[in-house]
Amino acid sequence: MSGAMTRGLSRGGSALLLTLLGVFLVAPIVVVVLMSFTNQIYLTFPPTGLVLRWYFAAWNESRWFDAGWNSIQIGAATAFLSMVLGTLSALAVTRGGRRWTGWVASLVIAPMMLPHIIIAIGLYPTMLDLKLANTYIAVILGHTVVAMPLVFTTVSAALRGYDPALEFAAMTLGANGWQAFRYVTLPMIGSGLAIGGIFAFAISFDELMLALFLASARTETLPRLLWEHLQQTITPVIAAVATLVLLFTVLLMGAVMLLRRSDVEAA
Amino acid sequence: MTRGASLTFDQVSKSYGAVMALQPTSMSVAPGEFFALLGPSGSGKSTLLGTIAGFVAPSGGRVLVDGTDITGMSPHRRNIGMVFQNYALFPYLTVAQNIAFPLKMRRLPKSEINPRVDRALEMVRLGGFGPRMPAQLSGGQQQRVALARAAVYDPPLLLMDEPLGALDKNLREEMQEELRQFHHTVGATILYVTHDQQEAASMADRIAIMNHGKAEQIGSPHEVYDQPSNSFVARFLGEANMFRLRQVCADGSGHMRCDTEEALSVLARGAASGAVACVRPEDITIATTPTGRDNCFPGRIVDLVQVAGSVRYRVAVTPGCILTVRASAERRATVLTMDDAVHVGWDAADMLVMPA
Repeated sequence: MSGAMTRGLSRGGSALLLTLLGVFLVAPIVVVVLMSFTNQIYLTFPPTGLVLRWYFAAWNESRWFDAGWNSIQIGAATAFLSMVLGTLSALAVTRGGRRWTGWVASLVIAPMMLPHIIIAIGLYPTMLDLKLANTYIAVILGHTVVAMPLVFTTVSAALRGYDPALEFAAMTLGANGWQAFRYVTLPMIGSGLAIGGIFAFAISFDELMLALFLASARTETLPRLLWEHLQQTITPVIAAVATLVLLFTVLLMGAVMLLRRSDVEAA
Repeated sequence: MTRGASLTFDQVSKSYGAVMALQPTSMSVAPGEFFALLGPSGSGKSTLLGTIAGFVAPSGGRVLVDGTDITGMSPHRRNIGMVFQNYALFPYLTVAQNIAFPLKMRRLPKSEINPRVDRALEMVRLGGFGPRMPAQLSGGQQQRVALARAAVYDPPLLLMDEPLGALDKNLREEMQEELRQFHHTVGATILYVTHDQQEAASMADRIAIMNHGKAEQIGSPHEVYDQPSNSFVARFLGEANMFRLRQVCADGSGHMRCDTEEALSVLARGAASGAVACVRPEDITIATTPTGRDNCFPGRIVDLVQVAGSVRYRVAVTPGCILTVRASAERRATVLTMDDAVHVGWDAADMLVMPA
């Protein structure tokens, strides 16, 4: 086979692969978004007409609002907790001693790989023992377990991205430990920390499995309520709410991209 | 102008597990002195510097600045200035904000900070550069900002860790002159870490030559060059032709006749068997006729390199012994080329004898 032919084939192959990827990734999203505008009372595709009826329906039901507000509160608390713990562990691993850091890093990252169901099965009895089951704290702690590795990863990368001499310099110039962190480390890891925080929020906002185990009617999150609706009454309201969740997630990812770009420009 | 601080190391040592990074070391630096720690990487010079800055906790011994024990003091209380190899400027702050940083940490009022920042910028000839970002400056300019930042609070002691290591050669020589000027202006004691012997010799009042975690010799650049205390020092500072002496006997003229391991018979002073003798390349005469010096050998040029102002020859005198000879530019008049048969010679007094 000639080189030109191989190249042509591989180019055709990658084009095909890209198309397939696009179809599999984008198609479900397109289907959900289009279904949310349907004029029928059940989920139909393709829609026979485009109306905003199901958005108004969701708007008029307070359960969706309560669940949305719960999700935002839990997401914000998860993001905050993940940022604090993730930054502390990233500092310990990248700037601390050398002996245990490899193990610590693996342990911190592990929940990212583990199936959420396993974490949920482990956390549920623990929360019962701690008398925390069905509280906000239970959901927030559960979500922090799976969200913290993201902050750990982005902050670790930010910490490795600059010369530790910057902190030494600050100290010789008269900054104590806290001031060196506040005036040097924090500005240097700022966008990595923010990106990690947004990821943590997004993970919490989209998470279902842990919420099923650890949340209750009072602490119901949006994915959990969507799940319940899917099991009971399948109406296009689900598609409308899913589309709103999608829109929100896209906004979050847009923020991440803006942060990344400003980081690249600063470097 | 600041009064420089004195600095004393009293049996300072550092070990990492079984590895002795720094053997118990004692030395003193006089107020206002420009003192260089010179050595290859891993020789302990940066460890020693770290014990003064407070980044390295010594395993034993004390560090004294102006007689005060600072061994356990946290870095931010030491009031010592430090300049790093990669400048360590804060990239998100302007040049002026970088220089203002130590003054802010000291809670000086704004009315006092601004004029001091301006003065520091003037001192390093960067007046008007205050609003720029560090990334907009050249390497040399960034290092001058780092100097201004380390000196703006008038520390009596300044540490410099290979500050010119990241600059290219021409700029490095220019900055050496500037650093000397800077030293005269600020009056602080400077402790300068480098692996570049030329840099140390051209700037420092005194040099400590470090190797394997200990100071091999301390003295002025002249002393360590002309009277090296061992073969490491002789080789590290400048070029040296070394001879290992095997059998030594007096020859009646006040010189010693020595047989070397290179199968040469040379004349030296104060030699003993087992010792090492060295002759500097610039002390050797090279000519087409016998030189008439105490030690005189015929040889053949196997390599020659034009260096600024001089020529560096490699002359084989025996199959196993090739000498390095440096002749000044005026000697270039006598045109010597590769494979020429030549005579090299030097006096017994040119032989520096030292323990191996």
